[in-house]
Amino acid sequence: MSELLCGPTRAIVKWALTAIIVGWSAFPIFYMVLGSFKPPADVWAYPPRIFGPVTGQNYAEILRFNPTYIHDMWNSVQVTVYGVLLTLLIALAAAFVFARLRLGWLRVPAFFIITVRMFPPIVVIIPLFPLMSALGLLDTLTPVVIAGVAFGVSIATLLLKAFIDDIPIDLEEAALIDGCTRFQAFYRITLPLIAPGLAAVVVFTSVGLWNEYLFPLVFTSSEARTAPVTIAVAINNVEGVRWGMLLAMSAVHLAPMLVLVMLVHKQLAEGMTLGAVKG
Amino acid sequence: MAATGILTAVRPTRSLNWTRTAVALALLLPVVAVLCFVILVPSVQLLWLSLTDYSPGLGGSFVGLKNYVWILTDPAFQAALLRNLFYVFVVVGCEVLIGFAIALFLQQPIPLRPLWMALVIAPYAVSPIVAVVMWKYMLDPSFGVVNYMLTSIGLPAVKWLSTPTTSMAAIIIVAVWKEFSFTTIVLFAALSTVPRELYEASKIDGASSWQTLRLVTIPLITPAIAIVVLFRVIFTLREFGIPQTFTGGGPGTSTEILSLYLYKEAFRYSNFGSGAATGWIMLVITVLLSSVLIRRTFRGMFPRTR
Repeated sequence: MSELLCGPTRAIVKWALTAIIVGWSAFPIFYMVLGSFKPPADVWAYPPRIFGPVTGQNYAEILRFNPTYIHDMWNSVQVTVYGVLLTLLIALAAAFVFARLRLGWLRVPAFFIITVRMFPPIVVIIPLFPLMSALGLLDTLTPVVIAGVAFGVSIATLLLKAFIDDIPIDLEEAALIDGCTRFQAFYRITLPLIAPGLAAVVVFTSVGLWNEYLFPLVFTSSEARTAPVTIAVAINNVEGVRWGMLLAMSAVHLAPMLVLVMLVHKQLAEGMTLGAVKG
Repeated sequence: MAATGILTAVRPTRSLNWTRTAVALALLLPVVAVLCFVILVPSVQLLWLSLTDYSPGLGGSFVGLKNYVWILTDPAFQAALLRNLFYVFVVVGCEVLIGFAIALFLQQPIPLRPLWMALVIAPYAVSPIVAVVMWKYMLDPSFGVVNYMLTSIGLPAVKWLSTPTTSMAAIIIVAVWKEFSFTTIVLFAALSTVPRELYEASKIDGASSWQTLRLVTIPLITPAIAIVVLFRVIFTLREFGIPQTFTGGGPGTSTEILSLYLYKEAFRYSNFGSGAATGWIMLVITVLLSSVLIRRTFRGMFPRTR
């Protein structure tokens, strides 16, 4: 291709291909957000209208037709915040052990963590459902958080271990000589240095918990229902889908994660590569 | 070992080693406990459940391999399995082809490349359910923008969710869109590791772009492609949210894949036994496929030089 095309033709082809890639990646998101601000007549318009009046009506309608949506979003926030904190806490502890302590038997827990990471979440809901029911935990946030953490903690541990490996242990040793304890040396010296990696892990974990659908679907019904389940119910409304409102609900759900992902997209890309190729 | 620091050079005494073991155990305990409680123990329980006729509230008794015989001879299960394999094949194939094409294109010097890279990763932020909302809106037969685009270039409009073939196509499109970021990013990183000199050398030897791609680039990144394919196969096999919310397995059972079959058996018909048997079959396929990745990750974590 490169020999055949030169000068302006080549530039045009490049821009056209870029436009196709951007359209494919971002158009669905753009079109949803755009639709969420259209007045009802334009949401259903054919041919579709890109330019037209802008209204916040669809957002106002969310609470009229889904009065629980704020509650459901708040549940999603809680699941994500608790889940991320719990994941970070236990994954950092484990990653520290794998990266800094040299003990032969660590191969056993490492193998375990790497293996169960691959298990499909759908297979554990069958045994967990009666258990959660017996424990009286159905329709609470606990099973959603715990199950979400379990399926995200392995990759978090492996990534954090890889990031800690990159920080020379000499720095911690210097801190030890200066009178720090082993623990202080780790969290005062190494932890700040792996901040970019930590950010990627936080976003990975947040996206997983925030977008989780299977666990809230199975383990919750109303009190602890999270936003994705409410959206899924609204998609398949037998009385007809209120598209404007549905697009607004989806945009509200997407916005925080989209911002987070865009903020750390570079570290995220590195984390994805590391998780696949190395982790 | 060349390190001279106090943590590595001093040969640990017996008591220091014991302290380390205790600390390591205490710090690993939470992760291991969560994984045991949520994943390992339930998976073993699942094997037991698959050998019983358990149903919630009624209890169950041991029935041997009856559930396995039942699902394996159930035409709906066989169809779901074959459909799932087809689904995985097409979804992963498209993800890798699209990811590779985009990664290859973005390797060239292009203005504003970081911005395009950021946009490519955007679908990663989208929940599968929200992705379904977006595409269901765009694929709507009466006001969808996709049909508008198709008809404006002279192609016929498609009634996406009305026929089995186009419904399958619709869930495949959503799944590919949702996950192509991963293949693009990883293959982009793999392409970046191909030494520039090789391209220059093949140019000097008079190779065409196509020959360079086929004889230099692709062989060098084959290991990365293999890993990406394996990862995506494993994670596509269990897909649930997209087909469940988009088509619900329909029309008829034309988009019912294994996870939907399992969910229906267990939670609609309360046949936890046959649901569990389906789950165990999925688990075994997953673990077999994962073994290569597991070994690789393990080696990466504990290099032999240590």
